[in-house]
Amino acid sequence: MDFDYEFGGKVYRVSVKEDKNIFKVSIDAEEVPTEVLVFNAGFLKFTIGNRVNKCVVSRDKELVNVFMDGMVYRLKQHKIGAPAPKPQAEEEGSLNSPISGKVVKIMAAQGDIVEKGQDLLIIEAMKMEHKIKAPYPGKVKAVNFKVDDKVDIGQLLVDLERTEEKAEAKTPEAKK
Amino acid sequence: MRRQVAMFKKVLIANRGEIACRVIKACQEMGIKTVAVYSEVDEKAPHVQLADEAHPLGDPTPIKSYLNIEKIMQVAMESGSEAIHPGYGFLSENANFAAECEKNKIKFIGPRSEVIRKMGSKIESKIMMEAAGVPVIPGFFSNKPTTIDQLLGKGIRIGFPLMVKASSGGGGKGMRVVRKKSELRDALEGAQRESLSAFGDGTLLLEKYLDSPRHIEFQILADEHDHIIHLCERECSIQRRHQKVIEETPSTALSPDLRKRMGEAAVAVAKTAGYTNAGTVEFMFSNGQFFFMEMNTRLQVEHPITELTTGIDLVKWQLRIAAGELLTIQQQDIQPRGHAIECRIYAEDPERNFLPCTGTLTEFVPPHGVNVRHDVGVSAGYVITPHYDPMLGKLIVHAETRNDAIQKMLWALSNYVTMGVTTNIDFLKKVIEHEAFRRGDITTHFIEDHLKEYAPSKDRPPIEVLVAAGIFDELMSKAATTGEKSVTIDADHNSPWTIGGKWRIGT
Repeated sequence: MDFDYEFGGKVYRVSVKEDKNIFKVSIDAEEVPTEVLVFNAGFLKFTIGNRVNKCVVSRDKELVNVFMDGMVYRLKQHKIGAPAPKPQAEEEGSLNSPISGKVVKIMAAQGDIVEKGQDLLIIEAMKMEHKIKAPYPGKVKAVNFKVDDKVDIGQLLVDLERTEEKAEAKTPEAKK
Repeated sequence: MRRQVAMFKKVLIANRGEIACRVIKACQEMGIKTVAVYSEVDEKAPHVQLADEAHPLGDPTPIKSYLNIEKIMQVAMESGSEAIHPGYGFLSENANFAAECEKNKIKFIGPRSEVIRKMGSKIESKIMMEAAGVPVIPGFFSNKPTTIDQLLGKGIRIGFPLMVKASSGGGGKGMRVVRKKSELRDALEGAQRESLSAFGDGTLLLEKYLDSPRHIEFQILADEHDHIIHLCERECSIQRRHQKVIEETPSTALSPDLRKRMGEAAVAVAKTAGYTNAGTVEFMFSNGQFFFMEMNTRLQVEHPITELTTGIDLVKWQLRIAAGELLTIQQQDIQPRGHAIECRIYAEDPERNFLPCTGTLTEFVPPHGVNVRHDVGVSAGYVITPHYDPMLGKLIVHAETRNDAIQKMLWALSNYVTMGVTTNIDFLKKVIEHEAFRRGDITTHFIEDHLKEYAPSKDRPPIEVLVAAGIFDELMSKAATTGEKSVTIDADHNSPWTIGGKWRIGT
């Protein structure tokens, strides 16, 4: 069977054919001779050539987590043939809460014109404060929370309408 | 000879997580019954399962649960607990809580409430230690009320960079580094708010920011019969956002002569304060000079490294000292051996400015090995909530030399399986294997200087990882088509990995 895994913005095609624990695996059409020694409830021991590898694999919805040598790799499985993911624009900060916590201070109100990087509000979680800054210049359409409100990770904190940046817009690639 | 005093029969542990487990186990070894307390979200937490009895505190918000003096006192009295161990954090340095214990004839396992009050104020303690001839960091500290505007003026006079600290602070809370004048007001207000929220006190002090400082602390044990010893130092310079991440002992910065002088200063601090039980004197160390910073009037998170090199169980001594026993260890008996390192394993994302991560730990299998200790308060399936500190556990190793300890720690970190929640394990490895760390060339700026740009590689993962994912999915889809629940392959009968059913798939 073929599997497409995304990691670091790129998709890798892994093809697997099995015959009595001898696996014919190829990655982006490059063959990797593999033999599985042990597979037991997520623990996997296999050889590539003469090298023995041990790892733990688990699945969390479309994510395949592979633990190897102290690192956990999160591979996102794609449907075969789906178009490659678009590189995400890198923005300085986000208007979605980076963490679950509590709003302790709000520095912006509806109608405010804010500059890029301006402080909008402060979330406290685990007794540490996290500042939410405007990722782009804009006009505040709504602040979705009040002081002392609980917020969950990923919730949109501020509705900020983008106003045109005077300087030339950066391309996402240019930042890398 | 140990004086014959009655040991406690029952002790309440007013804490959660790994430290509650650590204390409960020490009590169990000593034949003391234990009482745990827990908030709603901790109902199934390991400390609750370990203890002989457990009592609910309700609402998970700290102020309503683990910081709720009234409720905890009530549980202590109703359960017939003779003493309370506060662990670290929460009520451990709360003088009002200690006073409440004293009032109700329940022994607080720590120093007396007035000592906590004095030393808990960074300002009071600095004034006291300066008078006793212990060197302190220059800056502004006054026990008279000071407004933000006054502090602004004082700060400008001290010059930049400087540190804003909460007088009652700890663990990086209520602390700010200010590099220029324009940032000072913001920093003062933020520190005050954080400190009010975490400690109920907004008093601030200012300190000159020392150049390439190290944070070196000394462990103290003092009984209630005027005998005080120190158990040498812990090097705690590796910090991020002013919170320690890696600690080791001995420090590569101290000569035997410096160690002796700092140890004596630490004992002098404890003596001046009228200190009893286990405590820690923190020093800043810069260019061969040391300055008293503060005293932590409790057990430290990093106490295990001292236990490994000295062979002394600090928690048991806390209990014995609190029961009135004599500290039978003399200063000359303290002969540390080898080298110990501790790494704090946090559920946090180093790539996103160390933001705490929440979620379910789907896999959790810490490493086991010779001289590898793991103090832990979570297990597989545990849900990490935003209510409390995101530390999962502490990995501690002990070896004959520093280099051996580094190698052992690298091995242990590489074999520490956690899934479901992002952790700092890879980041810790990067620190430990860094050339400057190996040289022992460390300051509190280490992470900023060397690992600011840390990001896990976005390049193609190792070929083995992709192969493993493919094999896993192939086997799982095969199992699905044949209707089997799981697939097992065992072509390697000698493998210890095939024994036992430790590995599970999270559905």
